[in-house]
Amino acid sequence: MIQAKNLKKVYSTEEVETTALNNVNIEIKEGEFVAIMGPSGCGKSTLLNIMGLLDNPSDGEYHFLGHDVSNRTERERAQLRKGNIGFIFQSFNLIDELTVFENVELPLLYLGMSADERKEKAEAALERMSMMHRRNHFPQQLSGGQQQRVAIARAVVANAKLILADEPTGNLDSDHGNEVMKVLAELNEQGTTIVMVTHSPHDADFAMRVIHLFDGHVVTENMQEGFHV
Amino acid sequence: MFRNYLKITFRNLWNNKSYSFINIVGLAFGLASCIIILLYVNNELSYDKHHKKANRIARVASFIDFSGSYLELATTSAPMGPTLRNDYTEVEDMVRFRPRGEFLVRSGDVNIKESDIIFSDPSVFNVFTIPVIHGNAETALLEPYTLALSRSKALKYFGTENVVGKTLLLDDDQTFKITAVYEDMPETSHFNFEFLLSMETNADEANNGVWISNNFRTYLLLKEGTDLKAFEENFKSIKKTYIEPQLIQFTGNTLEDFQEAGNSIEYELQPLTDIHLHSDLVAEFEPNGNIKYVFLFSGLAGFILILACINFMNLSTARSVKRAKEVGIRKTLGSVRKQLVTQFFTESILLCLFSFLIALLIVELTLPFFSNLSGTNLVSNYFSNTNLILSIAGIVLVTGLLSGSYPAVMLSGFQPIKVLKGVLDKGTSRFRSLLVVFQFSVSLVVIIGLLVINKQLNFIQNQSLGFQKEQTVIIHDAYTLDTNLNVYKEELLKEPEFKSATISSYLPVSGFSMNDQTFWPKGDDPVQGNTSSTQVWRVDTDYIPTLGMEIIEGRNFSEDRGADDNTVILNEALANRFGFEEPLGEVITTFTQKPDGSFDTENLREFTVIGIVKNFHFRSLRENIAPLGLFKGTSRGNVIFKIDSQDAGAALSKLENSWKEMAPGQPFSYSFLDERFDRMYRTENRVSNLVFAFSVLIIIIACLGLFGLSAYSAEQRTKEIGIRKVLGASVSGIVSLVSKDFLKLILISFLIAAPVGYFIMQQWLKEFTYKTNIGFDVFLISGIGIVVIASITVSWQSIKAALTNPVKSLKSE
Repeated sequence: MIQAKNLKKVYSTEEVETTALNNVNIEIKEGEFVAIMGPSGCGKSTLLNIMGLLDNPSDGEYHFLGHDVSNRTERERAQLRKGNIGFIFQSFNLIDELTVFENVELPLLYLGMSADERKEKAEAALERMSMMHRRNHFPQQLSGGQQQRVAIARAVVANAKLILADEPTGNLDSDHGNEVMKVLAELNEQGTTIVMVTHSPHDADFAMRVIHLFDGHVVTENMQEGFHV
Repeated sequence: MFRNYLKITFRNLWNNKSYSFINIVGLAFGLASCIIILLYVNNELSYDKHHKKANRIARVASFIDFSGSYLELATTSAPMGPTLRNDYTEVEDMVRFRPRGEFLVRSGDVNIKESDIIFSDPSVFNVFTIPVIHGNAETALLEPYTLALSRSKALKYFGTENVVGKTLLLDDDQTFKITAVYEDMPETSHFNFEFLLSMETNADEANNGVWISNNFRTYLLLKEGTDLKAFEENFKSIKKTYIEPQLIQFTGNTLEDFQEAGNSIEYELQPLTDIHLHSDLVAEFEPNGNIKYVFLFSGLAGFILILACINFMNLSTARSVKRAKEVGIRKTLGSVRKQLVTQFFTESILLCLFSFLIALLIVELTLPFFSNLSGTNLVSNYFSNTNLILSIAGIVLVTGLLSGSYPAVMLSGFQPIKVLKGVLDKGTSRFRSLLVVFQFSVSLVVIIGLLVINKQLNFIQNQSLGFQKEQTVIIHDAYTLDTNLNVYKEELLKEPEFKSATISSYLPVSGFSMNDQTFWPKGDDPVQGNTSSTQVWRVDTDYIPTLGMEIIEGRNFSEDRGADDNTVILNEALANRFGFEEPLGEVITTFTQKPDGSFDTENLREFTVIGIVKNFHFRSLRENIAPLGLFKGTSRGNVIFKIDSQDAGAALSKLENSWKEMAPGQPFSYSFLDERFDRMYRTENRVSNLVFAFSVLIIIIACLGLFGLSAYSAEQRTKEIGIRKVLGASVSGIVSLVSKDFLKLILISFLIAAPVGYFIMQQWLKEFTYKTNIGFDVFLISGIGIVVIASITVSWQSIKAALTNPVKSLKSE
C-alpha cells in the first residue's frame, strides 16, 4: 500500500537547515498495523504527514496505492486523500462549532454524498464507536476519550483504507487510552491499515510491527511476537 | 454543503458574541451611512426628472456684461420666449414665469401672505408635467385674472379640492377666478409654485417687446432630437435682428460699438435637469444644490464603506488563530482551497446581509435627524427607483465580497500541518498595518476638514461686517401700515425697549431688495468710460445709526425735509472705483429710467457726494464688497428697530400689539438681522453638521478596526508577553510595548493626512474672499485628538494582555 524510497525532508529557514527525514525506506502492506516510535524531534510526525499526503518530501519517492505521489500539488493530494486516508490526532481536532454528528459527516460532504447516504454512513460509524447517543452534542460536552472516539468515527466514516494516528492516546488517561487502542485494534482486524505514531510502548504493543526512528533515520524494524503478515 | 457553512457561520457568531457584535454593528453603521448618503444623492439627482419631457426642456440664461457690471441671470427678456417659438422650428413650445413678489391672498376672512405665487404662460401645463386634477389644463390660464392653484392650497382656502369657478382676492383689490387645481409640485423640483396667475393679467409687460430688460424665466420645450449646443449657436442671430435696433434706439450704439466698448450679451440654454445641481445664477427661484457636495458626500460614503470593510477584515483575521484549526481540519478531511474560499465568502456575505438589516433599522431611526441636518426631506422610498435598489443591492454585495476577500484568501491559504500544530505565519501583519494607516489617514483628513470648516464659519460670524447685526429686529411688509408707517415707528420709539428705528427696503443680508444702476463721474462718457455698476439703496436719516454703520468722512443725511435730495453717501468701494482722492463734493451721474424699465439717455441725474461710509458686507462673505451708494429717500419694505433691552420677547409683543392696532387684518411678520445673516451660510452650516456626523462615524469605525488589530496583535504576542513577564517586565512596560507599535502607525497616518487635508481645505477656502487661515492649531488639535482616541482604543487590549497570567499563556503555546 505504501512504499517510501530514500525519503528526505529538509526544513529550511533563512539561516538554518534542519533535516527531519534522511533516506527513509519503508514499506507498509494492506492490513498492517504499524507503530512508529522514537524520541521527540526524530521525524515521526514529518513521516506521518508525508504518508498522509499533507506534505511533500524534499527528495525521494513515495508511492501510495500504486501512484507515485511524491510531487503532487495540494489540490491533487487533497483528491487522493479524500476517502482513502483517515486521520486521528492527539488533540482530537474536532470542529467546536459542529455537533458530533456533523463532525463525523464532514468528510462525506467533501466527497459530495447525498444527505441520506451521509446520514446512513455517519450513523453507522457512530454506532460502531458507541457514540450514537451523543450525536447531537458538541465536542466540549464530551470527555477526552469520547472525543477521540468521535474523531475515529470521522476517520473511518468514508471507509478509509489507511488510518494515520498521531499519538492518539497522548491526551487521554490510561483507561480511556486503552479503550481507544482497543477500537483501533478492532478496526485493524476488520481490515483497515493503521499507522500510528506513539511514545508509549504499551500502545506500541498493539501493533504488528514497530519502526524506530532516530534523527530522521529508520533504526530498527521489529516484528512483534504473535503477529503474522 | 451550504447548510454546513450556514451552521458554522451562525454558531461562530453565537459563540463569539462580542466579536460578532463589533463586526456586525460596525458594518451596519457603515452601510447605514452609505444608504443615507445614497438617499441624499438620489434625492439631489432626481430634481426635475418627474417632468415627462424633462430631457427636452431648457432654460434660457442671460450673461450680460454692461459698463463694468457682469450679471449671470436665470432670467431673460419678455420677447425671447415667443420669438424663439415663432422663428425657430426647433422650439415646440415655451413657457415664461414672472414673479411679482408676495401677495396677500384672501378668501372670506382668511387673508394670508403667499410667496410661492407667479405669473405664468398657459403653456406651463404642456411644457411641464403638472397634473391638473380639476379644470381644463389647456384653457386654464388663457384669460386675464384667472389662476390655477395647488391641491393643498385649495384645501387650505376652501376645505375642498374642487374649487374651479370660485374666486380669490389678491392684495385686497384684484379678483382672480380659479380655473384649475393641480397636484402639489414635488419637493424635488427647482421651483414650487402654489399659485399660477395667468400671464395675460400681466400682459403689458409680457408683450412689451423690450429686449434689454431681463425679468422673465423662460423655458423652451425643444423638438425631439434637437442638439442643444447647435441650437444655442443658431439662435445667436436674434442679437442682430432684434436686440441691435433697440440698442441703437436706447444708447445710440450699434451691436459692434457696444461690444468694442467691452460689453457683451450672451445667452445659454441650461438643460432642465442640470439646473438644480449646476446652476447658481442671479434670480434662481430658490437656492439650488451644489454638485460639489454631491461628490463630497458620495466620496465620504465610499470611504466609510471601505473603512467598515477594512474593519471587517481586521477583525476576521484577528480571530484567524481560532479559525485556523477549522481550516486545518477541513483541509485534512479533503476540502480544497476553493471550497474554503466559498465558505468564507458565504460567511461574509451573510454577515453583511445581517448588518444590512440592522442598517435599514438605523436608517429609519436616524433619517429625520439627517433630513434636518441636510435641510432636505429624505425619505426611505427604496422601491421608488430601480437605480436606488440596484445601488443598494450592489453596495451590500460589494461590501460582502470586499470584506470577505482578505480573510477568505488568507485563511484558506493556511497549511494544515502548521495550523494544527499552532504555527501561524506572521507575514501578513504588514498588510494589516497598511489598512490601519489608510483608515486613520482618511479619518484625519476628515477631522482636519471639519476643523477648517468650523474655523471658517466662526471667522465669518466674528468678522467685522461694517454694521451691527445684534439686537436688530426687522418688521417685514411695513408698507401695509400705509399712512400709519411713520406713526408706528415714532410711537414705538417712545418705549424704553427701542433705541432707534429706520424704514427701508434695503438690508445688508440676502433676501431683501437689491437695486443695481450704472453710475459714472460727471463728465465721463458712460459707454466708453469709467462707469460702475452700483447698488442704489434708498434710506432715511436713521439708517446709518440704527444699523451701526460708520461714516468715515463727511456727514449723514440732514433731517430737513427737502435737503440732501440730490446727494449720495458712497461706500469705500465705490469711491475707490471712481478714484476719488477728495470724494466730498464730487458729482456722480446716472441715466433716468422710462416707465417700461428701459434707460432714458436724454435725461441724466446728478448726485453730490456728502459722505463716505465704511465698507460693510451686504452679500455673502464669499464675495468682495461691491460699489454701493446710499441715497436719501423712502423705501417702505421694512421697519428696523434696534432693541435696547435684554427682554426681546417683551419688545416683540409691543411691536406686534401696535401692529395689530395700526394694520388690522395684516399679518405681522418679523425676523432678526443676525439670524438672517446666519441664514446666508446655511449651506456651510449644514455641510459642517453633516461632515461632523459622518466624521464621528468614521472615527468610531476606524477605532473598531484598531481595536481588532490590537486584539490580534495581543493574541499573537501572548507568548512573548508571557516570557517578558516571567523575566520581570512590569504591566506598564508591556502596555507601552504593545501600544507603541500602534502609535507609530497613527503617526504615519498623520504625516500622510496633514498635507492632503491641507491641500483639500485650501481649495475649499478659495470660494471665500474673506477667509481664515489653516493654522498650526488645526493640525495640533486633530493630531492630539486622534492620538488620544487611538491610545484609549489600543490600551484596552494591551492592558488585558499585560494582566494575563504568564503561566497560562506559556502553557498553551
